[in-house]
Amino acid sequence: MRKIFFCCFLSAVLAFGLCQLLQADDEIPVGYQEAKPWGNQLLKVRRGKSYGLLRKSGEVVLNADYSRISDLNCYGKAILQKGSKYGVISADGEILVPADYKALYDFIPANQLPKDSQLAAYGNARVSLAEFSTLDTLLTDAKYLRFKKMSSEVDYIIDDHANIILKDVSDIVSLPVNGMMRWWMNYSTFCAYGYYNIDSQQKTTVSSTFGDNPQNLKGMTDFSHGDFIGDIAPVRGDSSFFFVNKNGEKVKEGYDVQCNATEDIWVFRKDGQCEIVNSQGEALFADKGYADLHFPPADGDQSLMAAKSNGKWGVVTMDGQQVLPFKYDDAELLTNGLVRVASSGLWGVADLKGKTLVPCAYMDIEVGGDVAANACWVEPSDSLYHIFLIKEQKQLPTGYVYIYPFKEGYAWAQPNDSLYLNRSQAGDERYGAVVGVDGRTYFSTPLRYEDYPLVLDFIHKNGDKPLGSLEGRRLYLYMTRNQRSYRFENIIPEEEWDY
Amino acid sequence: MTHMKPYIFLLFLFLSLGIYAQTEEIPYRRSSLYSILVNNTASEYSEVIKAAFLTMPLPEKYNDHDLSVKVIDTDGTPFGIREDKENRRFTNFLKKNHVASRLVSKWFLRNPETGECSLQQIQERGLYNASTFEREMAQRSARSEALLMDAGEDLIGNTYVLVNSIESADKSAGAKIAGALLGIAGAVTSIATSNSGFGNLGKFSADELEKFQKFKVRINTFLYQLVWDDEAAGLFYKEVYSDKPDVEKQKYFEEIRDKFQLKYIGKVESKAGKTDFSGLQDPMDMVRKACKRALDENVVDLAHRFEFFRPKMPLLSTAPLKADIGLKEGLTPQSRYEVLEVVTDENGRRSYKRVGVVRPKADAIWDNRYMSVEENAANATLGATTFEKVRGGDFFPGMLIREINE
Repeated sequence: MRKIFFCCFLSAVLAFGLCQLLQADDEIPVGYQEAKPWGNQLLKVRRGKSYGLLRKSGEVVLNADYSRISDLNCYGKAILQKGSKYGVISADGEILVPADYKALYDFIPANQLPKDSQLAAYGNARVSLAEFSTLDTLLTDAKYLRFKKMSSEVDYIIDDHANIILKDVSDIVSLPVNGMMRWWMNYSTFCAYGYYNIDSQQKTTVSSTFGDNPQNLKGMTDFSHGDFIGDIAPVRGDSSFFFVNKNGEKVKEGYDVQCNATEDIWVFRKDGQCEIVNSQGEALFADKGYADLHFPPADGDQSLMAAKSNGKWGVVTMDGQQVLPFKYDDAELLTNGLVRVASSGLWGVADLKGKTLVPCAYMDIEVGGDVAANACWVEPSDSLYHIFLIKEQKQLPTGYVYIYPFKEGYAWAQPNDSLYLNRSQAGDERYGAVVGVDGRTYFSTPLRYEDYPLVLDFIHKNGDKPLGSLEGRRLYLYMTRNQRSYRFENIIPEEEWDY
Repeated sequence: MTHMKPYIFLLFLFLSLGIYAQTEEIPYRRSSLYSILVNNTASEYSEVIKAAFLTMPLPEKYNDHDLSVKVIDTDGTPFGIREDKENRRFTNFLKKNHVASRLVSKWFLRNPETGECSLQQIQERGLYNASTFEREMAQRSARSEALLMDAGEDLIGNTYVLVNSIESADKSAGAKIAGALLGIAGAVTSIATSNSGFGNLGKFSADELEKFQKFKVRINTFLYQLVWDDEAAGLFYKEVYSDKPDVEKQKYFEEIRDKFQLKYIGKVESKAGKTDFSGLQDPMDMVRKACKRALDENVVDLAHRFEFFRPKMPLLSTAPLKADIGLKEGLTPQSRYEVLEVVTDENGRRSYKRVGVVRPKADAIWDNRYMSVEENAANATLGATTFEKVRGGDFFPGMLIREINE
């Protein structure tokens, strides 16, 4: 009996020791069946069917009590799941939201919702809808989340440390902006919408579409109400737009259409004239009588805007000084001190001194940021893009189907040629060529736009000389060799070989 | 004093020649290589190995005869990869894709669209005087034929294909560092294409860098040689070569591609040893170094086994005897190198005549292995290996040395 006991004991010791050795070689921490890197700092380990987190040193960060720990998203956040309850954890293992909630909902950009849920009424808001819970991987930075408590059918809004910021939410809501959240309640034939004030926890209804002109959210072709810029926000009423304050009270009204908006201002038209409404609710340019306003691009001169007065467009400064006279049918500010201008329905380009750089003779014009290139693209009546040489005031004859603006004297463009068109149709990418401002083709091998910077770099290193077709093909094959691999079973097509 | 002047002049002249010999790069004929990667896509390392292969420098003692197809994917370790015999799958791939004909095309810079060919590559790699070569070719004389035969034997016939199957050799480290390696795979592609270096791939913790230190590879390299005999040369020069666009010849070549062939020579396997990564912080450098060292090792092994595959390199200087080779070429104190004088006949054909034997000095073998400087290896900065004469006559810079079995 003693011998049997001794043998069993010895076997157990040997087996344990062997396990230790094996596990030491495999470097899976003792007590776990699996270990994988999780982010840059931690290991996700599995014990049975449960998961936890360890530091590389073996220190336990999260006990293996969770049925799932999702991958980290690009914001360094992940879902924790314990049974049917959800929470949120950060990349360093900090539990941001305990796994206590029946469901978690991200605030999803409206244009990323399923197609039939993308409504004009939401504008460009990030919204949270009760039917789209976050089950797999968090989509956002989780700064705000909507959740459903276990014993309740209403939702709450929490911040990224599980602090409740809004209770009893039963509507479609948007991400908090300036302490306010938009809400919508949709019915079959009408809808209501308004704001939650997070500070006061007050819910206000600013408009509804029942009554004389009923329509539901899906029927709207424009946004319903906007986020707050400072202390005011625009609302679309039954027949006009108006502005409300954070208590839901109207402060300005009678606007018939929205012209434009930036992060700091709204532009609305009232009685045929535009007003810029800033975050303090002040109406700027009300006395100027501008019928419309266009603002410059983000990299353009922010002290200017294009304005419409008496049916004609010009350019003015933000304090109302005229820069370009009101003589155009349309005007758009570009970068580098240029303006696209239209006359009789055709476009041209002028500078801020009023000098015509490209005559108003084209259906479209594409001006790159590289004015020194002396060239832009114009689209005459043949619906193809042609190079226009500004100093020479000359349009080149070759037309292109698809183009990118000139930069550093070159542009990627798709010639109107079956070599490029057929190649583009065969796949889901466009293939083009590299064209110089002199109209010459510098690289004629069908080229994806993605590979254009590399070819451009080679052209520069080659003394800015055009490459022959064979030379170009060989270069392209060489440059893309890491993107191309083949199978033993297949015969490689001739166009994949340089010889 | 007057009678001393010629001697002073000669002394000055020899000193000048010596300085010239030590400072000028001496051109020499090299064999040509086309290197392919067989990439096991089932491996966690497939992307990083592919990136390393595409960005590591070619063996310096060989001309770059690469074609545009560099990577062949497989869904696992190729069958029979570790057996010491011809791999039929590799051979069939080379054959059905007419690789031999494409290597020939590249020698003659053949334009596949027009059929136009050029002898420029041959002239450059053969170190023929450009204007003389052009004139001789235009005259189509016995001398021009001799030059082409010379080129055929010494250049075109010394064209080789290396088919390399690269696998990770350290399974125990695999799962743990795969995540880190996969994390860089997304950036690897653009880096390989742009040749702009490693780029911003984020920081790795000390633990992860330590895990890269365990990365090891095993490479099985299969060697093929281009067959360039009288039949192949005759066929090409008579029926294919044209110095102008020629539609008929262009089409005919497409029909006879399979007449040009590769011959299987042999294979070697690297030792999957540990690579010293000291001095390296960049994980991609570590992977590249491990792959390059293993591949260089295989090239050396093949050269040991197959004499015709051994490179001939010039003596850079004669006092002392120095050559631009070292540990990368497998040099040891026991290595023996024959010294060859290049003899050119009246028609321009070259031959090589042994004039002596040298051996490396044990304490002066250059460590020219890939990234040896970064690891502060001993003798990494010598720049050349110093030799001593075993036997033979006078040696002059420009003479070639080639390893022998002795």
